[in-house]
Amino acid sequence: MLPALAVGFLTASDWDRILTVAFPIVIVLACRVRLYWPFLVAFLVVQAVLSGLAIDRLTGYYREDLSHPNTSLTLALLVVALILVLLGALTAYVRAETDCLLDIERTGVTTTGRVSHRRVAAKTRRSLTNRAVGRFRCGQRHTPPADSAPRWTGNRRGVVVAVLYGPLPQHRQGGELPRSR
Amino acid sequence: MNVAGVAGSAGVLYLYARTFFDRAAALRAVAYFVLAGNVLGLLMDPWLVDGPAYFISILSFYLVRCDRLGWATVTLCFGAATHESLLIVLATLLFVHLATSSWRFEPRLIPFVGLPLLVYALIHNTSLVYGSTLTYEFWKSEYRDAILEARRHLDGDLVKATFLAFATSFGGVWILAALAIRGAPRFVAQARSCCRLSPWGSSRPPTGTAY
Repeated sequence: MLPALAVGFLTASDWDRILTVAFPIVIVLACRVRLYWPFLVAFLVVQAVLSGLAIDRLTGYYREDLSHPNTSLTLALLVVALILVLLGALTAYVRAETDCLLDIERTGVTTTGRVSHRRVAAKTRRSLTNRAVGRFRCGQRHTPPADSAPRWTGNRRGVVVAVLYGPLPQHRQGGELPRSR
Repeated sequence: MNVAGVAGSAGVLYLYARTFFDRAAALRAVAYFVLAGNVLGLLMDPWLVDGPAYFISILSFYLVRCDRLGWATVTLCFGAATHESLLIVLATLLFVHLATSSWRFEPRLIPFVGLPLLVYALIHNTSLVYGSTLTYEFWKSEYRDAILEARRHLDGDLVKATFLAFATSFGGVWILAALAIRGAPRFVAQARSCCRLSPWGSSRPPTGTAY
């Protein structure tokens, strides 16, 4: 895309707008880089200041003054950066909780983390029960007992699921498991 | 309309990034988009931002990524009528589609390229679409010299103008993009399945069998 954009430099005077056309490629490439929090905060702040200065330059075209500070606009950019940081922190928290629950499911150790996020817990419960059912069914070696709880005493993961989240729904306990596709 | 176009672009950008990466990376993509100088220019002057062109551009990328070349042809025809820069998008999409499909030609690529070019030719050579034709000729040397002179006048010199153009467009995101080129995912690979997002909402789909 860059050669085409370079040609665009010769056909239009607003070069920043020409470069912004590349955002479906540039931004999606950039988001591959996983920024850890200190770096992400620093990056967002610097990016906000940089964008503020760039907009300040654009504003200068309108006022015919290229040296005014435009402090309020820069502060607005910093507030936007702060909101994005908080949003990203919340996302990272949800992801950490999910990873923690999956670690519990994989290792059987329940003391490695805390379960506090209800939504993540519900979603993870669905996933874990799906996994337990799928693995058990794929194995086809154990016959689920009909009257004991937890039902899957021979399946360690099933025990972990039952201990963490209570007994499984009735149609998934004992007897004939529904066939998958 | 510009604000709605930019907001829609952010939404489609999220969906587009989710076809490649997990939710956190997609949110990072939206954050980078919002922090781009030109998008923030909405605070100052809506005319600085081509919201509909952004929207059609990212929607075309998303549709081609999902292997919907027919719908992408429709959006690119609208795009060619909206902004000339969509021809750059068309060329890029054609190249990346061919490159990631092992340069295999498909008949549906003919309308994909031909119809937007036809719209562009109609706009520039007839008055069918807008009622008039363009009066300037951008390939003439006088026009090119006027552009470079305008940049020198506004920014001092062309080097400074180039730097400020990069800073205004994406700033540090360019550096991150350069760092991430190595090992980047292919564009068309697993295109049909990638657009069916998992309800799990992360890069790790549930491994359990459906019940």
